Amino acid sequence: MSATLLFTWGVMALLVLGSWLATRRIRPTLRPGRWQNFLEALVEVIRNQIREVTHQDPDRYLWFVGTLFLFIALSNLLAPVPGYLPPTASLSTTTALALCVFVAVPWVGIREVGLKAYLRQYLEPHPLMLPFNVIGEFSRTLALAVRLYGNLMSGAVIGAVLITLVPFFFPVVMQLLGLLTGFIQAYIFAILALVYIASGCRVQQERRARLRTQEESP
Amino acid sequence: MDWLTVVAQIVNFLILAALLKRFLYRPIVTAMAARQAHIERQLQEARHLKAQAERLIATYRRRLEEVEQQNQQLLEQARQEAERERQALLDQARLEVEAKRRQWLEALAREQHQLARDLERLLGEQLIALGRKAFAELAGRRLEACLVETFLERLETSPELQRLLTEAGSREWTVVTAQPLDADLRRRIETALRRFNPDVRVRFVERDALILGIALEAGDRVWSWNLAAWLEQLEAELQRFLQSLPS
Repeated sequence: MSATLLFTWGVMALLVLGSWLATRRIRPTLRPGRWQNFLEALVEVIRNQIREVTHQDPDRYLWFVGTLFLFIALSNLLAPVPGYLPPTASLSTTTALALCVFVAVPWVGIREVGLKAYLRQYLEPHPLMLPFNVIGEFSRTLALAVRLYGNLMSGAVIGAVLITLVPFFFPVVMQLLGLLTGFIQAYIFAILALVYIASGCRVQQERRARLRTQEESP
Repeated sequence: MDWLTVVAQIVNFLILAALLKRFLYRPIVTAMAARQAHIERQLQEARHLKAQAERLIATYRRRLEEVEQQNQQLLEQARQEAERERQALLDQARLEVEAKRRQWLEALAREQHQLARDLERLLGEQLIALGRKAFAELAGRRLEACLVETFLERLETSPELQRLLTEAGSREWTVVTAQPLDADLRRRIETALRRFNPDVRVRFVERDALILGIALEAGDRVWSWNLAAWLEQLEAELQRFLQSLPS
């Protein structure tokens, strides 16, 4: 039982418990409670971001992208707690998340256009491009994982270096910096995942639109 | 990197996503959608009510305008009617005043006329009475004698008198004078008359009413040449003239 898994469960428990408590007695009243209001604002911000990036219905991606963001953000924000080690600082976690995105991109695409049409996308513009398309798909996922991991690790490394230089009062500033970078990291990761998924999806949609116009004008 | 951990984290992530979807996203999105729908409904309702109210306001405003217009019309009608009534009353009053005035003027004129006629009649009567009196006082034997002479002369010259006498069939002729005539004059008159009718009997009568002059009554015919007759004639003329005046 590694510390990463333990803390992951802790973060999960916090998230689920908080959500349950906040939405337990949720009503479509005109005056939501404080907690409900906060969570509504949060969810609405995420939805707006998704809408801005994808120009599509945000609820299709909300559960995936929103969970990514909330999980990473909370994991990083809990960093100042003594004895806590962010699960995102483990390459295993970031790899897992990146793999999730890696699977989600074709998943969404296939669900959007069907398996055959999705696979044909790898043969475009020419079957010779197939290896490159596959490599691009993989490298994209790898880059995402390494980006998240590297950023978090670099934050830790910088902190360690600075701590050795200024041992007494610098940790507080570093903790604040760590909070900021952790939050930004969560945002960047979620947005990147969204962009990948949405771009794959959009490629499909554009292709379909192109096909439709070709059919309409023989 | 531990692949077991990677797999566990993937499962963890999926579980977390499912749980969050169950406990966070769905209720919140549902609640927000419901609230938005509620607000939309309320807005819709408010818009509907507002439109209704505006229609109602427009209706009432129009009705109010109609009522006002009607009022104005009624007022105008009443005013015109009053004006007509006033004009009619005024005209009537004017006519009445005019009639009264004319009546009054006519009465005045009548009265003036009556007065003038009375005055004239009185004047004439007075004049005639005066003449009658003056001649009565002036009349005497000498004047009688002159009159008889003139009468005799007339018997010779007046064709009217001669025709009267020749046509008169009576046996008795009466000669009327104001004063008694003396025997000489009587004989001369008898002689003159007998030339027209030799068998006639001549009677002499005195009447004061003649005042002055002489009258001859032959049967049903009368020839008179005296002042009373003149005055009567004058009076008759005067009456005729007064009656011919425009009243």
